[in-house]
Amino acid sequence: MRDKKISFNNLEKFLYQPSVFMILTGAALAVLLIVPWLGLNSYLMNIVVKVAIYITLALGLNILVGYTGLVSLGQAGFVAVGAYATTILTKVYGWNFFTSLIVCVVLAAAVGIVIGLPSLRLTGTYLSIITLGFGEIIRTVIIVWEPLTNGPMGIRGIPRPALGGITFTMANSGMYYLSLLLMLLVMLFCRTLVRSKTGRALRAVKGDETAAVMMGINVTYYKVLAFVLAAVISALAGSLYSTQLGYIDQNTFTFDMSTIILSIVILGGMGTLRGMVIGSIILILLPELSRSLTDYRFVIYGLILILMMRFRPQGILGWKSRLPYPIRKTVIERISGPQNQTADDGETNHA
Amino acid sequence: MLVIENLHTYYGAIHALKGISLTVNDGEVVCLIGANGAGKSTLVNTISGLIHARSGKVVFQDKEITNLDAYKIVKMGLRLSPEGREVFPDLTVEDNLRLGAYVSTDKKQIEDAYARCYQLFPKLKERRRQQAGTLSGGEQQMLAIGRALMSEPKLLLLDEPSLGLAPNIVNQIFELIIEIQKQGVTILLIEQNANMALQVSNRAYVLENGTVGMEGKAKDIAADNRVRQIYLGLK
Repeated sequence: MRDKKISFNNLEKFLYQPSVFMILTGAALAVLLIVPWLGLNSYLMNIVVKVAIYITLALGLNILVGYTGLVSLGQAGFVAVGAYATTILTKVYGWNFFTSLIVCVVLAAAVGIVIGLPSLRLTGTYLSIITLGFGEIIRTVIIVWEPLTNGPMGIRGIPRPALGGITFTMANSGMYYLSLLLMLLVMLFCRTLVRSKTGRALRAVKGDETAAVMMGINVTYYKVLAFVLAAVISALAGSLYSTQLGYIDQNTFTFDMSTIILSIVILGGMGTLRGMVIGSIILILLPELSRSLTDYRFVIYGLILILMMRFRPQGILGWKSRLPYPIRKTVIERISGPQNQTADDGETNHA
Repeated sequence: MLVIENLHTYYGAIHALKGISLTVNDGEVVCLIGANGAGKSTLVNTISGLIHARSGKVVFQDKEITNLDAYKIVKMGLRLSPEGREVFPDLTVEDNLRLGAYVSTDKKQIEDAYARCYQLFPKLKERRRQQAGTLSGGEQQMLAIGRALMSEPKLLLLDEPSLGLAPNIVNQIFELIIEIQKQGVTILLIEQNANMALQVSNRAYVLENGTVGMEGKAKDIAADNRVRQIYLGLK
């Protein structure tokens, strides 16, 4: 019997049975909710929040790299847009953090469209270089636009998010729950997106642009859409990140940050959602936990990128991307009749 | 169904189509034959909007579609099954077909299209959970044609469907073309395999160096001495 064999695919099928999946998700959620009571010190909690924010960032970039096949090396630029928009609105103009997010989303979407447009003419490496340039342009703008951004001095004392008299701080774990909430919402969004018609169109664009056009897919629209979504998600995570740091300047959003996000996506597995989680945990947590590694971490990131591309381009958790989308039952029944459905589609019963 | 008037297409300075005019009527199978470089693929790519024409007119169902965005032309019911198949290798057969129905919004229609497609290509039904890249050449070609039929096009352009396939598979493909025609789809067929193409077609055009060298009933073209010598290899 082939279902006795232990393989990633069978493990996968087991884990993704609705009942097992629900239990695992529930358990994971429960653990995530009680993390603040595990007695981690504030240093560790800061890292945990950072991991959550990077998972969010990776999920955003994954829409571009993993599903649409556009490699962006300038994600830090989008993060900076979100971070500065929120910071300036809350600190200088006294807006509420959550109201400022609306502006942040609109602004990021606009920037996403502008950066998305070159993607219509450029492909592959050329596009990546444009996005790399974009990241650097944003940094230069931050330095030069002193009246607004305070230039190279950066902005200090960024207020923590507050809502209805409650301030979300590290001490009361508000920051943790906020970043957790954002991460979960983005994850849910990505999951829905990937399984939708839009998600299929994005994957078609990644697979073969000409063929996608021949399906009647407006490739232009979907490429720009992917940039907009990635920009908005990155900006939202950036807003939260700035309040966690409490201080931002142009050096917060360097090319290194874009590299880390891209490394997470590639290490975890392009085009998977859980890959982003494992990638962030490995690339953010491990260097922080072993301080001696920190000095060498970009050497390690580079090495990881090269090794992954050579030996496992689909990423650590990449095998999932091979599973088909669920097809509606009615369709399957129309095609094969209800009885022999399980027999011929190879989905063995684990019950 | 499709009327092309004096179409000129350039690749940079190269004049690839030099004033092509042709007509495809409702319900016909029309084939375009010609040597390598005669402009067959350029013509279908121009019709479907992948390449822009410099002058001339393409009219589909009484609407001018010259140089329209390719995806809009697909929505109007003109589908190209491109040369070299171009299936999405990482996606499953079923997902490929689903993408084929991308422009359809009616769920009932999509379900019908699945059923029809699997009836036409039983092999695809067997392999529907398999990645398209793992299919054989013939199966990929069937997938490409099936995918193009998913949105119920009025006119199907088939660019070299027999390219690189084993002789017995080629026979199957041509039988399918007749079958598809019976279902009411008009077909413009581009083929190097002139012999087979002429057998399944109603009318034919012979392309020579970017111009129409000859046109007429497929039978007459097949009987023509020059065509027999040059394209059919007969004396």
